[in-house]
Amino acid sequence: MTTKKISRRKLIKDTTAATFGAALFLNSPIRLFGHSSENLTKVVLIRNKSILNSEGEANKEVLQTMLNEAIVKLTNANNAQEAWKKILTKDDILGIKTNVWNKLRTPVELEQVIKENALQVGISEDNIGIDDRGIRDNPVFKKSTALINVRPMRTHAWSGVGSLLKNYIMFVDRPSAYHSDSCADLAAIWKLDNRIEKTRLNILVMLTPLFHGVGPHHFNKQFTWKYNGLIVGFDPVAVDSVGLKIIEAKRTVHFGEETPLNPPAKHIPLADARHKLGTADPAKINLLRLGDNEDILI
Amino acid sequence: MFSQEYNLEVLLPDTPTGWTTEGELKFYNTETLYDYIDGGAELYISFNMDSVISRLFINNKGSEIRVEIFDMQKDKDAFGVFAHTRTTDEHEFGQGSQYFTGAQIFWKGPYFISVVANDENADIKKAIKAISENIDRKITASGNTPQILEILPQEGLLKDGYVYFHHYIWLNSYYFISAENILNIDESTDAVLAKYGTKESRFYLLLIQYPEKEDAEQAEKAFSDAFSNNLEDDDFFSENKTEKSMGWQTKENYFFAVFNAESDLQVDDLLTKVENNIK
Repeated sequence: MTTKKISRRKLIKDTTAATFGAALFLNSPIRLFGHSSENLTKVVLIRNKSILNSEGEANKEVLQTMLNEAIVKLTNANNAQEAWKKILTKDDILGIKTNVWNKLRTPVELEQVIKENALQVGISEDNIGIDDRGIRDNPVFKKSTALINVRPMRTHAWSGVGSLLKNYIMFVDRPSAYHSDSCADLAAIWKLDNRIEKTRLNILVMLTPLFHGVGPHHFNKQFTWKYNGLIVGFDPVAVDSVGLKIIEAKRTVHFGEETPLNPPAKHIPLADARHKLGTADPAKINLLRLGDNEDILI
Repeated sequence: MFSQEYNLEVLLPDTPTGWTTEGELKFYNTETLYDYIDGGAELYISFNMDSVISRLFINNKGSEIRVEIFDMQKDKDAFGVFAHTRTTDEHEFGQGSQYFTGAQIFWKGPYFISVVANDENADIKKAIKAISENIDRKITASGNTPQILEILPQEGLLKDGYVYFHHYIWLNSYYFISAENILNIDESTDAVLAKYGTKESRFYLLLIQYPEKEDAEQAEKAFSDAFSNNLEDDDFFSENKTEKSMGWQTKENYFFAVFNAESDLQVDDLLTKVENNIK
């Protein structure tokens, strides 16, 4: 019999160390993502209680306002028009990578808000595509110079969470090739075909996130809640990391005790530690909170 | 595609009054399940699923109820899938069941059953109940829970607070232990993770049965090595800095460990009880 006094933090550190190595969570992204003066990765969380009506439908005008406020903060622009011009140029060919999972899809209203802002920048309508499962055959996506990645966060039966990182799995010919070890290496997809460089903005939809899944299709309304938020940033790893913290916090509140995701969403820390795609460590993220603070969970 | 005992189709429920079937009856196996369940197939495959049959019922109010019967081949795997999801066993159908909003799950013999609606109202709840009762009657087989559960000490064990598995991905079901398969959990092992104590003072028991004593000893060495690293306390998974006790040991072909205990005494007490329960 062996017994050992050990702190919770030490336990986690010890069991991840063998694989991740001493450089665990050292931040070395392949490009700079909206770093603040303190060299932290900037992420904006914005919430608005009036975003959803009684039917749970998103109000497009409120979404527009939320998104614009978020990107003004993210880009340090003076106004939304200036902010969008920092993100897109009129010559861009833009693919808006959405998520159409029928139980919790990206709101159509949000897709339209993004498109309308791209049109305002001067991108021609022919050069804007909105797609999910057809992106490999979509002519706009095939010749795209810019991508905007937008999807809701939800728990996932195999990868822990459906995340921004995971949203690009439809770019690959055989998604199941990235399923091993609970989708640990999803970040690798982002390094193919310059996807990380092409991605101008990441928007994690947190209006009614799914924090727990039951049944074969891993969805039950009982385990969604009105969080009324968007998380916006340039670094998909950092945005996912913030979303993940909120999901974990909600699980603790709901179940009355720490209830880890099952399985853990290891693809997010590994996107940092193994793939150097971005910043997963909350200590290295400058989270800017806008709007409602009640039950913010982070 | 079908188990030796039953043809899945004959287990399908009768159509509830006021409902009709919609679309074709669908069958999936381990090769095709990925096409059917977006992202969830691996859970069932990790518990050795053989095949699943799916039928959709609709009514004239736009409601849908999807019935799925999974042939898990072994009783213990049907239980494993059920235990993976249930938070409390309501024992209403089959050998264990739980109702969530508009969704009933249960297991019986080698089968795991899911009856899920797109909404919830009185009509839907009535139909879900009728469907579940009907399937329950049609499955005459009765299964056994995994034998390894008999070793769990009952004192302090949270009711329905345990999961059974034989794929390392589920190692962290209640408590983060490792992101890697440091204990060599695979098809040949049976594992259970159980909750003890109270919400305010929760501790966990991990118990794994290996094919041979040498396998357990090898796992113990790998586990011990993983926890002997002298690293600085610096991570972002948890803010909890409270010092807790953990401990582990082997007996015969079993490895067992206690995590997050309040004291070494609590660790020793639970390990000793497990040791005594291993015949």
